[in-house]
Amino acid sequence: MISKEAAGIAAQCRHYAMCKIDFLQTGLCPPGENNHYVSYYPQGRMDLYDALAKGLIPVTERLVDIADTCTLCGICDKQCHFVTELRPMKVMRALKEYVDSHLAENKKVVKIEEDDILRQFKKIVGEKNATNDPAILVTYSNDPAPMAKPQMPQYIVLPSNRDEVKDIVSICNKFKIPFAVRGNGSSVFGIVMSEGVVLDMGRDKEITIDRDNWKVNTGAGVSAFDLQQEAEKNGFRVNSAEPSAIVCSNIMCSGILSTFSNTYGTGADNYVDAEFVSNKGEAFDLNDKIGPNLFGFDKQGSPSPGICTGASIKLHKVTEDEEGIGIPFSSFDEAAIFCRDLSHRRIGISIAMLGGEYISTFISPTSDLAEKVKTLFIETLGIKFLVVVIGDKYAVETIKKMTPVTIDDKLFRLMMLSLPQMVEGEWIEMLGDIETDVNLFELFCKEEMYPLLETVLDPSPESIGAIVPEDLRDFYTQLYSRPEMTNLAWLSTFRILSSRMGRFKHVVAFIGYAPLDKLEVIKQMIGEFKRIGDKYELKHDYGFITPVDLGKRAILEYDFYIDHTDPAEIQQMLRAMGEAGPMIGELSQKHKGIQWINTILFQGFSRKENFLYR
Amino acid sequence: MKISAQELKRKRDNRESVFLITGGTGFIGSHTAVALLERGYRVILLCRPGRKISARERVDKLLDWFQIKGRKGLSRLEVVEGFIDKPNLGLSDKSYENLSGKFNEIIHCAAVTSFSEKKREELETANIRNLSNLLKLADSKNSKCYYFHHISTVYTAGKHTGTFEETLIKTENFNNVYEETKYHGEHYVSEAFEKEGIMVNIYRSSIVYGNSETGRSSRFNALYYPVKMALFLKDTYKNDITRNGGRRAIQMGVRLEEDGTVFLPIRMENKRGGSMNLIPIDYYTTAFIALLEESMESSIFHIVSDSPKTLDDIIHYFRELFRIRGFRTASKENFNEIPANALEILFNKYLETYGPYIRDTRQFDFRKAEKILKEKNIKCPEFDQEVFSRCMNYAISVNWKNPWDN
Ligand code: SF4
Repeated sequence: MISKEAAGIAAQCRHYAMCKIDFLQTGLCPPGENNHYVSYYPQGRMDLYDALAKGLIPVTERLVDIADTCTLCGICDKQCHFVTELRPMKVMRALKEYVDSHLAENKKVVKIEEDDILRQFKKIVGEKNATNDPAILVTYSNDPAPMAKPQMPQYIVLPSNRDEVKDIVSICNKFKIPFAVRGNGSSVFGIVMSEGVVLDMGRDKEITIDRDNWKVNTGAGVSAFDLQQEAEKNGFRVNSAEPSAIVCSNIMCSGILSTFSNTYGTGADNYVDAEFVSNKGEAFDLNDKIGPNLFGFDKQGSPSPGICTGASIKLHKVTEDEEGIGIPFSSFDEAAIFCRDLSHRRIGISIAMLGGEYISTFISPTSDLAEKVKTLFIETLGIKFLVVVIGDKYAVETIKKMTPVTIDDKLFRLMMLSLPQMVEGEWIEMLGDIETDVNLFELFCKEEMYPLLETVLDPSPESIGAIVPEDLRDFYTQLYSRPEMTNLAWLSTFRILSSRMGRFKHVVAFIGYAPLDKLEVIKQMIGEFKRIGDKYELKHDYGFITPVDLGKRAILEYDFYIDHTDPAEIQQMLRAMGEAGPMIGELSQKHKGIQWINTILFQGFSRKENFLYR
Repeated sequence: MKISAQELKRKRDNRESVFLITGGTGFIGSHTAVALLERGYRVILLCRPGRKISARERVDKLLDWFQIKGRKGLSRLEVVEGFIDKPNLGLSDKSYENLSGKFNEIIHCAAVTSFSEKKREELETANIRNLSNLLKLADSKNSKCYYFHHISTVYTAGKHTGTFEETLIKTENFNNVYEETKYHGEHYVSEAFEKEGIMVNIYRSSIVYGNSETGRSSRFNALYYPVKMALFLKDTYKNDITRNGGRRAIQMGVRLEEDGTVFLPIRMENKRGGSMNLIPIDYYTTAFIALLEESMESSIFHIVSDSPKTLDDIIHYFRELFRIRGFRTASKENFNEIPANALEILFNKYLETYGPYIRDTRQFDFRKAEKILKEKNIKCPEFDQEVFSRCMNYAISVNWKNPWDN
């Protein structure tokens, strides 16, 4: 019997793959870590239950093994609640129960016979690491991206190095089987599926720090979080994107777009070298004198050059005095000009201008709180935008001199640990009643006010524990006792909060580059996105801006939100994307410095000079 | 056809005059409406519905609070659910036409009293633009409207120095957008309504607080606000001292004395010579009705106190009632010497907004109103310790919230 409740939860999985990284120090899902297939991770198990509910697969040998290996340890519940507020444990239990009762009733367990091609794959990667079992296949067959139609692959193969990839591609070419490479999570364009073979690179977790050359050699299955963690242990930082993103896949798709791109750069700036297997099965390196020129950029877009099987990523020094600081603004122009000015003056390492929606969603552990925090920030305190900067102590000191008030590390921590009190307390309401003509944040964020804020708000990890379900209370209390959870620099580096933006609905991010010297163009772009979002009745919001190349250009993200299980919303989203594309195209004809995700796709190795200044 | 002066007088004498009151669920509007009902007049309240309840239900809740004995006079009350900011007041053509012929005098209490520049648009709409909707109503073809009573404030004086007389003045300098929009509202009504042959009275009051005899009130801003804040802070630090060892209290210089008094180190910047002009709502409504009943021609009256209070007076009342020490006034130089702590920043921010009313140096002439009120033996009660205590105790008992509209 399928549990309706569990099936409802299972269908909601956003494929953010946060359950494939150990971002909360809970440890990883044990069977996932041992078996590598996504099917053994909570994400895959959610898909499996969804597939069973929809009658897409029978009970197979692998399905029995997958259900059997779940230890009901509860790790996924903590991880997933942190990000999406979903409780996957209900699904894990239901999956086990479903399989158990199937076996108890002596019903058939399907075994799919091996064919010759599978045998050849197994020869390359080992018995365990290639399969045609539908329980595995189905977890690679869909993606919440609106453009992606489900495609059931024939085989899943898990190579662990470039030679294996070469051999797999050769077999694919020999038998004319299409193939695709799967990263960790979901993709905007749904390019991670194939009717033939899907390669999951998750076994190649090599990370080797090369201090002398300021680089880290990164295997094709290494996530941004794991890479950053290793870099941090050694006193470095890498420029990386969402924590669960596979670094090599990320580079292949878009290049690395992060708030640290302000100083670490974008596109080719981030890599020393990379190795590939071409679509024909030939190996080549980024640094080859003769070979595909991946540094170049084609405005018309470009096909995939093949499979990236490893990259050496630049390392950057982290000074011990690094801190985070937020600068609140009530106007877009002031915030954007401030960001640009910082970048022009080379103050700060990471710079991001976040909207009120983003910031409240990120810092709030529940959506209910996020709603209230948003009202508090935007309406009561007047914080419509927050410029978040990570810099050394000199940068932080300078910023404090540049602006009347800031949210420094101390205040940020205080706020993070007293959000529930802030939104409920009559005191903040009372502050609002003062009706000053300045924004309330100018009073609230004054350094002299900190002792009073501490007394009135009484920040504590327990206050965060108090707003989550009873069984997670202790976990959250301990989690928020850890200094990094309230440290802006750590949070900006590891980006574990940003996936919370998908808590409301699945996010489709429109991301690209824009000219930061022409704010009116950026505002026009945002205005157009807003118009399109309204027209198609989709929830939408400004995401963030980060200066690039000393403030000449910017990364701009604008987000649309959809219920990926609702066909009507998907249709609306496709229409919106259909309108947004030409809109950006037209603007990029008129103005320099605009490049959008659909042209950047597969050109993540390009030199920024080739796409930002032509 | 508008009615004649004689007809209005006859109607008023026979208590047949019908008053249309806007802002009838507000502080001034509700008290005015109830006072008129109690004097036997007929009243139509034009009010908007609440978020979850109808206009009528809002009014019923308010009437309960007023404890009108035996609900006397309620048969003379009508509630019209409408929106002053909409054309035709948001009514159907038929209801609008029906309403327009029903009243003889308008008492316009609806206003937005925010001081915040950020709310300029809202203030301009409420305090100026909406007036034309009322003019249209008063001037419609079957209107029997004779009088427009415009509730205003003595603070339309703006930054005018010297004595502010009971006349229209021209000025361009204001302390805030509230003063400015109320000023323009006054000018609009006196020109536009009079042009259509409708008499206009402007009643300018100073700061109105609760009932001096019972302490009851439904609005807790201006005077009440700093008291509420101080009590909140007192409780917060007391809690820190009694439950958490008082580390944060020590850091702030807050202490609990042996006799249970709490010491809050708060200096409020005082400018020499200023005071606060306060009148209780009971005096306000009595004075207002008396002035109204004596008026047959356009006039401007100031309803103010002849004995304004200084910040030190109020701090004294406060100290006595709540056993809180440490509040005092201080000069700017003193703040330069010893920078403000967090508590002081907060209170001085409040003073920045309310300063023009607390440290007020403007003089309000009220001879015209006084002449009428004296004859009727109506005098503004003194704002003393007793009245202060009564009002604050009431505010605490209802948790500083409008008891009917929350
Ligand atoms: S409960 Fe099962 S699925 Fe969840 S983390 Fe533990 S082993 Fe993995």
